[in-house]
Amino acid sequence: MSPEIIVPIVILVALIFDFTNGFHDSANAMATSVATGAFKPKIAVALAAIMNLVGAFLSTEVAKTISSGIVDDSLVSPETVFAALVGAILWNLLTWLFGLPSSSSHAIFGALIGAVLIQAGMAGVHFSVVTSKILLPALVAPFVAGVASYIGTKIAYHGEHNAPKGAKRRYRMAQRVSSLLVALAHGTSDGQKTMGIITLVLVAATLSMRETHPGQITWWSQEPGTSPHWWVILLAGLAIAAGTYSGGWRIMRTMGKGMADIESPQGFAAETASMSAILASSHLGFGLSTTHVVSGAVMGTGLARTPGEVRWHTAGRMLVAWLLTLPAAALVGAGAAWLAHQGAWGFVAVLVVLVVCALTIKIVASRNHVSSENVNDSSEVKVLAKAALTTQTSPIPNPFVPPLPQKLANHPMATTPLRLTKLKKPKKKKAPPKSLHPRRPRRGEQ
Amino acid sequence: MTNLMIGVDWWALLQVTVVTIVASAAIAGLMSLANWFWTPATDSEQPTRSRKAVGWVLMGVMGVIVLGGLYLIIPYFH
Repeated sequence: MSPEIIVPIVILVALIFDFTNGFHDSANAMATSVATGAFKPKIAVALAAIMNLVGAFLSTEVAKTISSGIVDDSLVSPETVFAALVGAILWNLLTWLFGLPSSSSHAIFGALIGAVLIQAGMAGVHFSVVTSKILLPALVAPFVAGVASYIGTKIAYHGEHNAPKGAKRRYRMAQRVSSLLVALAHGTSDGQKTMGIITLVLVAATLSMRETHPGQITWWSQEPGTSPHWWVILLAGLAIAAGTYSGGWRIMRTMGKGMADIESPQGFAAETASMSAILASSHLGFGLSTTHVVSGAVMGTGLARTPGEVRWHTAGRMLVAWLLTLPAAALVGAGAAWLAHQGAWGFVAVLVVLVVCALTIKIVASRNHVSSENVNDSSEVKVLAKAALTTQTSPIPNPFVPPLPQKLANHPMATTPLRLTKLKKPKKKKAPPKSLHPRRPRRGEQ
Repeated sequence: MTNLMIGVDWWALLQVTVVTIVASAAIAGLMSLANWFWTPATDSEQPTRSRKAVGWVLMGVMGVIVLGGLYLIIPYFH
């Protein structure tokens, strides 16, 4: 396909990936704040969106080396990037459907590895870099953040001076600041990924076009090693901010309520640990996934206060998603790359598959809709449970029992199918014991 | 397996671990200590002016640590 057609399509798909990255990861910064009530849900995502947008403009260093040496950049074509983006978007949507916080970075890298493997074989992937930049940080991030958060929570709950109402109010305020800083750090790291991907496509398409049409320069032409165009930075920043504002409420429920019930001091400790880990790793060039960091921090804070109330079932599901992210995204990326390299029809077929799968996931998700209104109502994200719930709450009417009068029909006892617990009798107030030496009545009391 | 581990920057990994744990413990400790200074001994009385001032100083130190972290990640400032 000609670069004039493929480049705008890949840019559009890259921005869609950026959008999914935003709503997938908005929980990272705001889940604990929403769960503890430090921010109202809508305000939380609006502020996170602004901070993500600001963060995207702060640095473009990562964008220059997007693949980070994981694959051989010279082998990457626009079709390869397109396939990788499709794989990452589908994995992001699938994990969102199940409310599982998985790393968007791992999804895009996994899909890119799969696509390059199909195109260039094993020689195209640098497995030592995969180990050092993806696998090891994935193991380290939750552990480091978890330990830091555990210690922070123990300190925050040490002593009675942290218990009064005033102290909790101050912790709530501090939690607001720390969550905003996590959103900023997220924008700085993840906002650049899409800039890097688009830049990679532009460079590859420019080099490809130079062979066929020497000397021709288009609006998107870009030389290798140069910084992203201003419009690329702007579009990437806006896409991640829009995604963040749309709010990944399903993931936010899992992150804020699913793993442990947390209070403001815990939220503050978890956010502080996450922020420290993200800032330290960004500065030292040791990339940690924001999702892994925040998930580990929430687990750590849960273990520190109420170890018995940590929901290991949810943590286990999340761990499985983390383990599957790289191979699953690689598999989809490889399939999409194979199809996209078959020619124009293959490219269109991949686009159709993406749209159909995305719509299907959206329809399935709408059956158990999670929004800003009900994000804190439960700790579970259900996918296919609605049908069972409907049959349970609509009992077959008994023909031998006359219907209740209209006045009683709406009474809570009338709509409750079966009461298994015994009703407690209201306790009678005990009369004060009669004193052996009754007080002499004062004048006027008699 | 050995080849796969050659590219790992163990020193950076150790630094990230230590800095994360120390920084978050320091910030949580400062916040906790500030709370202690701001909280009166009994419900009826108010914290003294000096206790309030020390609490604010601790909060300031906490803010400086956070701003230092932000300064480090933004290349524009370097």
